[in-house]
Amino acid sequence: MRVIVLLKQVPDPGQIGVSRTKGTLFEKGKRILNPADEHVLELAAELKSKEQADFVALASGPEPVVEVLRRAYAFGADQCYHLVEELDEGDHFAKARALAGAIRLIAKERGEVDLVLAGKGSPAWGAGQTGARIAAELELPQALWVAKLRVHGRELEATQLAGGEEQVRRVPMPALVTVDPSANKPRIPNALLLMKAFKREVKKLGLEELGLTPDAFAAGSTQVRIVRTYAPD
Amino acid sequence: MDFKFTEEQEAIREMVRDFVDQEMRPRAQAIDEEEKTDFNIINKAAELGLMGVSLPEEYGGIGQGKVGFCIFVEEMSKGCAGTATAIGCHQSIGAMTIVVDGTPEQKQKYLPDMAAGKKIGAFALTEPNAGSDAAAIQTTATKDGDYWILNGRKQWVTNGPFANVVTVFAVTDKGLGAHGGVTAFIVENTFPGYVVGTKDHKMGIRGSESCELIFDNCKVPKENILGQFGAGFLTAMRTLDMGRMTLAAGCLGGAKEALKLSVKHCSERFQFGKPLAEQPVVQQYLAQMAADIYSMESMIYRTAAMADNGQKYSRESAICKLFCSETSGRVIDTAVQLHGGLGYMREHPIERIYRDCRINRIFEGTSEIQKLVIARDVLKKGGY
Ligand SMILES: Cc1cc2nc3c(=O)[nH]c(=O)nc-3n(C[C@H](O)[C@H](O)[C@H](O)COP(=O)(O)OP(=O)(O)OC[C@H]3O[C@@H](n4cnc5c(N)ncnc54)[C@H](O)[C@@H]3O)c2cc1C
Repeated sequence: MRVIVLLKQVPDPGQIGVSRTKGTLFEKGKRILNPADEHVLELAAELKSKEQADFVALASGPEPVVEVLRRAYAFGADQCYHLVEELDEGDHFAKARALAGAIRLIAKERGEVDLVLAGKGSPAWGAGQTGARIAAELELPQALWVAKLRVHGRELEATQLAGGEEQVRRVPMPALVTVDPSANKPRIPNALLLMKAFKREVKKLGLEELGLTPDAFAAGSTQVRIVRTYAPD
Repeated sequence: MDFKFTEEQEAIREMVRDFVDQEMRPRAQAIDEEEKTDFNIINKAAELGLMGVSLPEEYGGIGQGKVGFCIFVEEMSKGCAGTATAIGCHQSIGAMTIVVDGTPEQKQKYLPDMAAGKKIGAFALTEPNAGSDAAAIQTTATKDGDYWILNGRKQWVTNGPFANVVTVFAVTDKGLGAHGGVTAFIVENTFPGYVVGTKDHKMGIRGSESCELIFDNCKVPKENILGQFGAGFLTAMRTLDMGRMTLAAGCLGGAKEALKLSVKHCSERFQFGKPLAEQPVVQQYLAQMAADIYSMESMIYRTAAMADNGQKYSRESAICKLFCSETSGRVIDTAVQLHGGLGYMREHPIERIYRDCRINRIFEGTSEIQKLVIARDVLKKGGY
């Protein structure tokens, strides 16, 4: 079984300011791993020990993103990939297209991917779109906001929380799952793994390697346009 | 001069902080009442590799050096000074003797199990008649074929009740005195004639246990001589250089916790129609506490960096020990004052922190002994 975990680096919610004049956010501190993604790493680490899964992590964005991949190594990831890009962060279409391309590339290099795991959403834009859009790009069945995940051979049993009720569904692999934070309590990583993470190699990927035409990401080619941002009263 | 922690050091700090928040601080008050080392925490620390932060990587440790180890002790001491003493003692004066002076065979035999927390370390120098005057120890070691036979009593040995590997200092040649006549031995708790005496009841750091150790014709194999024969005092002093600096880091952690609690209390407690924090006198206290913390932090990490760079740091670690134990005592005393009557109540952590910090001016060399060491150096050099 091969699991790819998608990680996102986000502004630290405790370190954000709002510019009243410009109506934009500014960041005061270092970026952090999206808190919801800690639960994704925990699930992947559990799958690694229970199902002997090959645990691969992928993050995209500018150079500092490497830091969140170190966190994946600290959780026991076998290999991390960094898709280096500077796409507009609010453009979920372009991001999803790029990440889907990277997943295809990794599958070619490492072997077929059985499960793509992503977080429930992030505090950055809070859209919770990326996971679902990647599933669409890759034509994978998806289960969102999953609170419990079991593996039965080539099938997943995913328990989702919906309006206070539990829905259990069976999803054939390969599939994409987004993880609800209630799924688990992320571990404190082992200090030795944490230190070794700094010495592990992160493989770099570029947009040009993905086999997508440059205009797949060009301004206006996607369906998001930011009209105005403003500070809440 | 670049004074920045590395990314690795920041990562360790964050990780230990999580461990302290989840496992240590919530248990600190109960541990104080129980007066016992919490092995649940020790075992969890061991699982996470935290019993070998200071130990070399080649022996299963994290190889974090002195700066990393000070960060570790500082963070742990914020949550529970007692537990921090147990874990810190194991790695600093407990295992450090072997790191400093052990043969490759001794290192291979003991350090991996110690780094994994499977064996707990301790350091036994003090005796009923030899405290500050450590050279006055009376425990003897006499040769008997391939063994050395130890006889005597050590007291107040931190981790003594459960330690597996204890560095014991004994007189091997009375005529030669401290320098030449004292030898360090690695003693296992399973050796015949090793007896654990009564456990101490203490004012503070009650999550750390200490006791008397009795050596009643205790048989120690000759390969367990640590360092050069007759040079045990050197081993003790070199180990204490590190111990004193890390102890200072513990003082820093206690002071930071005290300031944090004080800020919270002074912001939430209303008297005379406004929070205490709005009173100029209270602000002066808080400012002084912050200034004290900054000076402690600066000297500790500067000294630790010196040590990691291989420079000699005996005088500096004595200064850190003296200054930080006294200063954090003052910071924590102020914190009690700012809490008013609440600060005197068992229900509030600052009451425990106050009791916990008092030991820092006493063990690993009293303030007076640090002054002696520092003054001797200053007099020899004609100044600083
Ligand atoms: C909780 C606890 C844990 C400990 N853990 C350990 C351990 O793990 N291993 C270990 O070996 N020891 C340990 N000790 C012992 C500790 O290191 C000694 O208590 C300390 O060194 C002081 O010795 P003493 O208590 O005999 O005091 P004393 O030496 O009797 O001193 C009493 C007072 O006289 C002062 N004084 C003494 N000599 C002079 C002088 N020349 N000039 C001026 N003033 C002087 C001292 O500073 C002190 O104020 C521990 C002690 C305690 C309380």
